[in-house]
Amino acid sequence: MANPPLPPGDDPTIPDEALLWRRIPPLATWWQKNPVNGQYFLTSAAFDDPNDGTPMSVAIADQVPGGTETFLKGYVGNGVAQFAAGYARHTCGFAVARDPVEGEPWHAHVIGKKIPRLRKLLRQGCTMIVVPSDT
Amino acid sequence: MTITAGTYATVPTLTTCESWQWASPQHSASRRRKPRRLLTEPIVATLTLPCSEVIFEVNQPEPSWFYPALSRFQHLSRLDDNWDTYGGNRLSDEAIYTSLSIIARLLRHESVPPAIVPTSEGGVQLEWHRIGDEVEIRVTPTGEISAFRCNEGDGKIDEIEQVSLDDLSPLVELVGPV
Repeated sequence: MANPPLPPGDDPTIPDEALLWRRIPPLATWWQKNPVNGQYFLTSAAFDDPNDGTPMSVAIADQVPGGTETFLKGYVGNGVAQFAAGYARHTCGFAVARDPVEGEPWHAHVIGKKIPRLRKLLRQGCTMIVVPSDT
Repeated sequence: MTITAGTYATVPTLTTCESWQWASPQHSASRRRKPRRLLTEPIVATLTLPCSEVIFEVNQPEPSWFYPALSRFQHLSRLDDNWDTYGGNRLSDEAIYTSLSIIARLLRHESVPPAIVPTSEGGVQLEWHRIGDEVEIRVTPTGEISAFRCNEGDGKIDEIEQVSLDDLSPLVELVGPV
């Protein structure tokens, strides 16, 4: 069965296999201890659109020279959550599009309304490749 | 010790009490102290937020989750703008007050507290992650309440929006015992 249509703006030059990085701030905000079992977890609140009306920001991993070290430069204590562009598209129904900005040519957007069910799906599809350091 | 208690007007009948010394009332009624509760006087705690204060009266002994929750809200209330590096807003007093009100009504003494998470818009998300069952309550900066529950076992998803602090019964029903 074909995938449902994606929101407008999807960039097909970003392959489904491309890995996307989402920066996770320190201060035990989005990465914190579960009071139930004591294990750390990433909250779905990490996958919201910002307040300025733009879509959620990510980085296209293979376009970041120097890897996470470059990506986190200037963001002391931040972590990195990783998921695939195809997961964002075909499991969550989001579009993925480039949005290069000054100093961050790897910058991209995940486009589509971040309702609770989809935020949870994004969280489930993530791997924490760098854990925020203050935890 | 077994005590069959009487009222102030009658002398109690005591049984199996070696050290209890009961003296007949010798004072006039005007000198009698007001009745006091033993170990149940509520304590008063104050949470100071950037633009307001929240005052609690809590019966003793305080629930084990009470002070950690206050501490967590105090910590979150001090986040600056752009705390998330994505331009996030600092938390509003209204969001914190509403979240505390929800916690106070949902949690019992023995309850497992939620994870208390800031949102980029300046609100609060309360989360319970149990095996195969997740609950999220989201409070916006203006105090609007919505909730989401997902049961992995049966794939059931429930969502409610526009819950009022005046009537949390839909929220109580969705969240269930915590």
